[in-house]
Amino acid sequence: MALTETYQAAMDAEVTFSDGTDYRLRNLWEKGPLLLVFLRHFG
Amino acid sequence: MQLHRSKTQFEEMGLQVVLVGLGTPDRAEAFRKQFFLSFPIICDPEKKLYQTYGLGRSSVTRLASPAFLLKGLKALSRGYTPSMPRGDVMQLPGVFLIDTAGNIRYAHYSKDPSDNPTIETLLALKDIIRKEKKVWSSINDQT
Repeated sequence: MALTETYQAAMDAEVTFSDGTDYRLRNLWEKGPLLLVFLRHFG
Repeated sequence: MQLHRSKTQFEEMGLQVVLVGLGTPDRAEAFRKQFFLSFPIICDPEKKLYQTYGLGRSSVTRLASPAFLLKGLKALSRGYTPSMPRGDVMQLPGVFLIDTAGNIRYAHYSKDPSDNPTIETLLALKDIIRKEKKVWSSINDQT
């Protein structure tokens, strides 16, 4: 399957997880490739 | 949720899957329990991350389109039972693969609320990840 690759710099941000912990996105992707899945809504 | 059924395959790819939702932590935890999810969930009730990643909003016309309604019916026939949505139902979803150097290597901006990449497309991201691993191992070999 052909995928369209891009090389755009990802935007870092401080985020809050559902367990209340704060994290920087950068710290996630530095650990390994990150698939960020934005949902439409919870439900 | 189809994504969750492929969790093992994502783990084998070495991919961290993180969900982002509009709700509060309480709502996210209820959602996690409802769908038996074990992926981490980022809560973004103010849509700051959605905006940072350039995700837009849908329109009433698209929500009422026959194509969207048909997709909804198909989901219902597969056993999906939606609960009352909370947050902005017009918000469009999206998916991004970010490599360890902080580059977006794959981006899917949904054109309408039901426009999501197939699970096959997401699993095919292993080719991009494999390529990245080769580059890093060749850099490490040179040093």
